[in-house]
Amino acid sequence: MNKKPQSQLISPRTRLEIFFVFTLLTLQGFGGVISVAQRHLVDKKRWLSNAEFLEMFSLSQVLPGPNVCNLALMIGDRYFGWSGAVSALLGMLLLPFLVILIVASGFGFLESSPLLTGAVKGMTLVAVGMTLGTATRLASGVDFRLLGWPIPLLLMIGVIISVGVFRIPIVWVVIVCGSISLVWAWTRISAEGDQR
Amino acid sequence: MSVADWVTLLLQFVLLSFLAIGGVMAVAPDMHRVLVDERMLLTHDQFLAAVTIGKISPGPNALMVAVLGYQVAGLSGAIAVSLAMVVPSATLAFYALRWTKFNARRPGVRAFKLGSAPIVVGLLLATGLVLMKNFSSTVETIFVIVIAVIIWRTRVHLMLLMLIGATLGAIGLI
Repeated sequence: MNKKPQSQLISPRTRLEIFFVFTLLTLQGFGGVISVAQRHLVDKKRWLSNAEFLEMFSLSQVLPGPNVCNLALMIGDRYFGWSGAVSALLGMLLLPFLVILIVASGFGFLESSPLLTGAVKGMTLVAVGMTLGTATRLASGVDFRLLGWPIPLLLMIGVIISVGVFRIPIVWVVIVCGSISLVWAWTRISAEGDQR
Repeated sequence: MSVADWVTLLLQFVLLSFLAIGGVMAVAPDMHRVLVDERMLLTHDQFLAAVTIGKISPGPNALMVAVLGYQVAGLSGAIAVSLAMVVPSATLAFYALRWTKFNARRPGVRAFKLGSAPIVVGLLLATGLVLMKNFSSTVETIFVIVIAVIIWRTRVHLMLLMLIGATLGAIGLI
C-alpha cells in the first residue's frame, strides 16, 4: 500500500520538460515550494511515488542548502545525470530570481497598501494550511509495513510536541528522535534480512 | 566596496551555504550578523524587508539572499550573492546524493531513508503548528485547518486556494 507499482510511474522525456515542470511548480510556491512539488511531481506528473518523494525530501533536508533545490537536483540527476540536475535547478531558481527582484523594487508601494498587505496575510495562512495538509499526505510514504505502527507514530508525535509545543531547537530533536528512528529502522531491516 | 571586500563577503556566504542544513533560513541570524552588525552594509529594517519579500515571492524562500545582494549592490550583487549561496552547496549535495544512490543497498543508507521518513513528516507538521501559534484569532486557525483538510483530501488546484486566501485577506475577512 505504501509503494505504487513502478509501471504506474512516468519518466520525463527531455531536459526541457524537467526545466518547465520545475519552473511551473516553483512559480506557484508561495510560502514554501514543498506542497506544490508534491502535488506536481507525485500526483500530476507521476514521476515519483509518495514514498520516493518523502525519501528524497529527507535526504535533501540533511544536506546543506535550500532543501527544495537539493530535491530538484536529485530528481534531475535521476533521469539525465548532471545536465538534468542543472535543468531542474535552473527551472527552480531562474524565474523566481527575476520575480523576487521585481517585488523587491516595488516593496515600498506594497508595504503602504492595506489591500495588498491583507492579500499577503491571506496567502500566508493558505501556505501554513498547505504545509500541514502536505505533511499529512506524505505520511502515507512512511513504510509502516516494515517499521510497524507504534514506533514511527510515537516518534512523529514526539517531534511534533517537542518542536511545535515546547520549541526545543530542531537540531536536538533531530539528533535524539532521528537516532532512535534510525536504530529502529536498522533493527527492522536486519530482522527482515534474517527471515530470508 | 573594494574587490577584496567583495571576495571576503562572498566567501562568508559560501561558508554559510555549507552550514545551511535544514534550509537557508537556518543561517539567517548569521547573515544578519555579517551584513548588519559587522559590515554595516544594510540596516536592520532592510534585512527584515528582505525576509518578508522572500516569504511573499514565489519560489524557494532561500532566494531572499538575492534581495540582500540587491540591496547591497544592485543586480550584480544579487547575482553574485545568489551564486555564492547556491552553487557550492548544490555541488556538495549533488555528489552526496549520488553517493547515497550508488550505495542504496547498504543497510545504513536504507536505515537512514526509512528512519528519517517519520521524523521529516513530524517536522513538517511541527512547522505548521509553530506558524499557527502566531495567529491571533480563531477565524484564522479554523481557516488554516480547513485548507489543510482540503489539501489532504482533495486535489483542488493550489493556486485557486491561494487566490481565495488573497481575496479573503484583501477584503479583511481573515
